[in-house]
Amino acid sequence: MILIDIATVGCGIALLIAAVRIILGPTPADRVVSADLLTFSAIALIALLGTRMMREGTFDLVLVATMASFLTGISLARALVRGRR
Amino acid sequence: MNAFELIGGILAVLGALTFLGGAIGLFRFPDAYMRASAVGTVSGVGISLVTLGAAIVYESWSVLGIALIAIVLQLITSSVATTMVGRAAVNSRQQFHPDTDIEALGHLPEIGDEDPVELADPADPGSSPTRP
Repeated sequence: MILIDIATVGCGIALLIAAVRIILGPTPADRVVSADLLTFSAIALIALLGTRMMREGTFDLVLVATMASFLTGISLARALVRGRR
Repeated sequence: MNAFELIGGILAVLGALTFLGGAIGLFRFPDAYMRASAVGTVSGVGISLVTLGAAIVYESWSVLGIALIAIVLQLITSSVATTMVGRAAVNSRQQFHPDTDIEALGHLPEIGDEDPVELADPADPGSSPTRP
């Protein structure tokens, strides 16, 4: 399962880079975009961790987290506009 | 390492490379809109490849079925979320990069265009300002 470990490291690095961009980002739109990437990196890490631990229930978590991250993205976009339109 | 692990591992590594590409795009692109396009690619292709690879390594039909449902839902919703983020960026008066050709967009909202905020009247308790 060495390839799964390599993919986990890659997704972890992407998560850290997104976190740095949330701290650095000069505009609020940058922060919203990086938060979106952060949620997707977290979902990828959950899927890879479920395969590594060989637990079957983890992929149900991936299904729910996919829908939750979609609602997160839309809520963040609405927060960016402050609910105006 | 049998065939399932190899194929699933390669798909997962390809997905992780897409994630890394999107993360590098967050730093290399000079504009918030270009960064949003990079993250939109990640949310569609990256997640699908990683989940599919992880499910193939697991070697179980039920897990593969749930993973395929998650992939289909993710592919449906990723472009909607990215478009909404881009639209919110335009409506929040986010500046474009100067090299961008924005003639086709027409009249963009400017900073002075907002509706005036109505505050509650302190002399009249129980009343509420009208909502836009």
